[in-house]
Amino acid sequence: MTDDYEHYEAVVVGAGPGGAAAAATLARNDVETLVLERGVEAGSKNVSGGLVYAEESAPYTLSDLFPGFREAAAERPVTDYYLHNVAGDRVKTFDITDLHDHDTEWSEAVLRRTMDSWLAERVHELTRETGGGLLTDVRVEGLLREGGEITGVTCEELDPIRADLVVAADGVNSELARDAGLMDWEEPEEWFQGVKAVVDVPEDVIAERFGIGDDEGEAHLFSGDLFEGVRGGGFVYTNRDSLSIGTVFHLDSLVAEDAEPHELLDELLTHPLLAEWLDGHYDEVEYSAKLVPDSKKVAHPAPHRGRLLAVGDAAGQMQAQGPIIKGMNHAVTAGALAGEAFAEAKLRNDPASAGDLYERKLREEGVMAKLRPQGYRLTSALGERESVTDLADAVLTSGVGRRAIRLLGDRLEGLYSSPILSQIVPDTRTPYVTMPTVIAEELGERVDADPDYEPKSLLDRIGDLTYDTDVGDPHIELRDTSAAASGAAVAACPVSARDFGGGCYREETRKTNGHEETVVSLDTQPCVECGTCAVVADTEWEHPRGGKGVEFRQG
Amino acid sequence: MTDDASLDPGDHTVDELREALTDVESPAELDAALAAEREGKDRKTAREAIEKRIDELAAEADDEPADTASREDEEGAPEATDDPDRDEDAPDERDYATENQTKDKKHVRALKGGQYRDMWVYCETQGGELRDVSKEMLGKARELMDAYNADYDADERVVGVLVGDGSVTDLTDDVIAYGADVAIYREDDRLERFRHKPYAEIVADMARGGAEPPNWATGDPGTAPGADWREYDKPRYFLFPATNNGRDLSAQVQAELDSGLASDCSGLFIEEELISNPVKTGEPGEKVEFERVLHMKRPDFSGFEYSTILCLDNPGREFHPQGCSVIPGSFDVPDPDDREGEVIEHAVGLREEWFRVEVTEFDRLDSGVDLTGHDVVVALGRGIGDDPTEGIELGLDLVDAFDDAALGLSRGVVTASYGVDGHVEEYVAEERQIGETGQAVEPDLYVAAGISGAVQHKVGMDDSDTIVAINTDPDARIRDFSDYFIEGDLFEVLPRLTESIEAGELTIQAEADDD
Repeated sequence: MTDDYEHYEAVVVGAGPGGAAAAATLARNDVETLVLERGVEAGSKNVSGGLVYAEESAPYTLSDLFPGFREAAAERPVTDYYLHNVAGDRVKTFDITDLHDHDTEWSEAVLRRTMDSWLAERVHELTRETGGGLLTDVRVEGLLREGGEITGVTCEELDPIRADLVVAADGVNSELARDAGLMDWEEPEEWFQGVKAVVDVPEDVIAERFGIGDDEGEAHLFSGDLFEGVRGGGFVYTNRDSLSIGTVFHLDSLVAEDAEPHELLDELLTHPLLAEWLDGHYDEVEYSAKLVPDSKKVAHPAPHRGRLLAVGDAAGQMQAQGPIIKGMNHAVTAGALAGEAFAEAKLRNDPASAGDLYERKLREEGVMAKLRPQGYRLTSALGERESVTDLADAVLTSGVGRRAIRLLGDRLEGLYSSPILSQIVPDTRTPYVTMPTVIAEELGERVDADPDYEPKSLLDRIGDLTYDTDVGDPHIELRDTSAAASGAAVAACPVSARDFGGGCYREETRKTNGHEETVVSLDTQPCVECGTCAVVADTEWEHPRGGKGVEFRQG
Repeated sequence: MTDDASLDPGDHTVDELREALTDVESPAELDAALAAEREGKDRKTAREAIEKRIDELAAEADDEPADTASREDEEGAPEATDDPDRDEDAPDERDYATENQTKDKKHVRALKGGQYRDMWVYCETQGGELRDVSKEMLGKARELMDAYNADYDADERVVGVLVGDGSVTDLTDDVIAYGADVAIYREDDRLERFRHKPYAEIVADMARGGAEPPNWATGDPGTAPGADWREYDKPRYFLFPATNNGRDLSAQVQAELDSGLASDCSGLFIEEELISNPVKTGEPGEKVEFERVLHMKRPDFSGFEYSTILCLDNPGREFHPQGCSVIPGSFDVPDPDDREGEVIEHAVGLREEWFRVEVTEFDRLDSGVDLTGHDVVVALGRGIGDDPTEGIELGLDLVDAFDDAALGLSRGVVTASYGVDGHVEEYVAEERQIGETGQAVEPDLYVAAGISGAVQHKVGMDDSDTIVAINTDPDARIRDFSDYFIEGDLFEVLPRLTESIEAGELTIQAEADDD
């Protein structure tokens, strides 16, 4: 009966910006395209910090592909960009708008449920005309292989579907990229973990407290000693009538420090600057989390295998270099290039060459150079060794270093605004923690405001999320319950915590015959599907089936 | 129309014309109609229809069996001239037209010019109760037929069908209360469990009103319906549940009734439909409006796209009932109504050979532990973590102290890796879980020991009359929705509670009481 499988020219898995861009480009080139999305609606599974860029140097942007995007589906353009160096209650703020504006055609704060569902409507219209369309609630679980070749996809809800092109736009935990051997979940140092709270703040309060008009918006980054020495930083973005407040950390650092992500977020939420902004208006409506690939390390130089082309997070295309944080724009470019590559390959009557063509386009259009900058390889070879880090930290915190910082003064702002420098900063605590702390101590001003609120408890954060639990069919299985293998997840999982029984991962003491051991147990009900435990614990990790699991309303 | 000698074919579509022609008994009128058609629209199919009727009348005047036999010859069907009963079985006015028999379908029992009325609903039962899907279909049928009767100024009914052991006689009132005008049932002890053959035979017989279908192998033309509570050949519409048994039954019954089946539908409405397919209209290039068409919406692609299935008559062959199976949960369960209705016992004989397949054994899938309906529920949370085995023992002790109590667990306990001792291991099971993904209970007394009170737990127990929480943490969330809060370690508090219940008096003294 295998001959009865449905066939489409192209199947796009995932209706985020990468999948939308691929599908739109394919459809405009008259390629019969089916888009499969596992959420109840596009955007219901998607989380991002919240800034999307259109780069002047990019061949495709969201507004090119989807006219009217900014007006209809974005929150606010980002017109000011600040970096706050924090040491205790001292803050030294740099205006790095110039860096932000570099190569930027426009930039918008977005909430993904709104954004992705809007894109999905356009994608459905476009793909319908080719004989395809967009289906939600379908989880693609793997690749269909026939005679050793990838020939399509297998789904939990539908029969296998054959396709001449499979676009894996299924996000950071891409099951297709893993099935094809393009990505893995092995090394914590290849990942960041972001957590975010969306806080409702009335539009007029945002206008007043940030001093911005209707068509203006701000982005604020935070680094320094706010986060117990964990490498990473925080952000606050202004939406139309809410704030996206989040923290992003190197996953290996979170694990090494045994830090609780939700507590680090609370540190940011209760910082005096936030206390001023949120005074009387701390109404947290959604807590979310996601893994973020570090493109410097994992952006795949050849993200294709047979008929499978991976785009966006699924291919590690997330640029997080110092204060430059760009992911969705690269996914859009890559998606469109993948679509373009297939259309051209088809025109040449050689659809099998789409992968090579896509790889070449990523390189020639400059995408790979942004994702894996040359300079970083030089610095990382030298700069990420512990001894070098210690030395740099020792110099910075010494009298000599401190005097240098004072002397540099506001010229530091210019240095921080250098796009080249930000691309090559090493991933050590020096730029994330030590340097900003010293800057704030030496140059910062005291900010004092006490929050009039307590951050929401993890219990309430989980309780206020929407879940459609697939009862009796957990999507993650714990292969090894020993603390040694999986204990790190108890703290690192954003919806778990030590001494908290309501989360995914819990530590338990098991007594047998006078012998005591600590074991880890897992309840997938509170899961936000970020993928952290797939990296830090010994699990069998899959997405829940179509429509099941967490449903983000903001994203 | 029969006595009106001026049948003008031009007033009719060919399909309507065929129906009208069956009533015409006068060859002169037919000659006139044929002439009128030639003068008027001069449709080939219309002329053929009139000519065919002329032939039929001529044949009726001739020797009946010979004619039948000759037609069978044409169709290549087996000769049956050795049947001694044939000549005596004069066919009634119903036309079991032999030309409808096709080579690939040997059991055609199609009617032409048949009478069809009412919407039938097969009401599946389980454990002596109507299944929800049966109620959902009755409610939908009621709604559809109320609108139908208003739209077409008709007076057609909803007929609920029950088959089973004696318990189904108790359900006829329910069937009427949920929307039927007529409840028809066949009960027999042998029908206690669903079996394909007897159920299909009974339901098909009910639908045919006891008519004997024609047998093409023998040439037996069958009999007219004998049921006196109705005046039609077959139901107009028929709904079955898309359950395991309902699917099984629906396919066979619809085939027995020589119609089709739209399986697994989730939306239904009745409306006109303009059809251009010449197979259906008999008139290539013309659109014909079909009336009273049941539109059966069926999810494809697991519900992402919909097809609408129509069951339409062909010009020479009728497909009724228009039938489908309905996915459970597609419609709301209606509120039962205090309605009047007719109850009909359908007395078809049960043949021994229908019961050749025996149900030797059956097992109701373990529905697990039912925590609902108890006076008291004692629920344990992760507060038992220090010694889960003892915690469960203490919980069970308290359960035993009450007359009617059950042990429940929070999800945190069910999903834990406690590794409790063997004698209490069976209690740590998903089936005891209370909350959003477990059971919802509302006992008179709910004792929550060592439960923090997540929202997911709260929704499973919030409707309990009295909630007593025991927790070491005075800020535990559960305190917000407890009537009594005992700050303390469940390992100390539970035994004292048990002791008090057994003694029949409270031996605990509150140190502080601020709730």
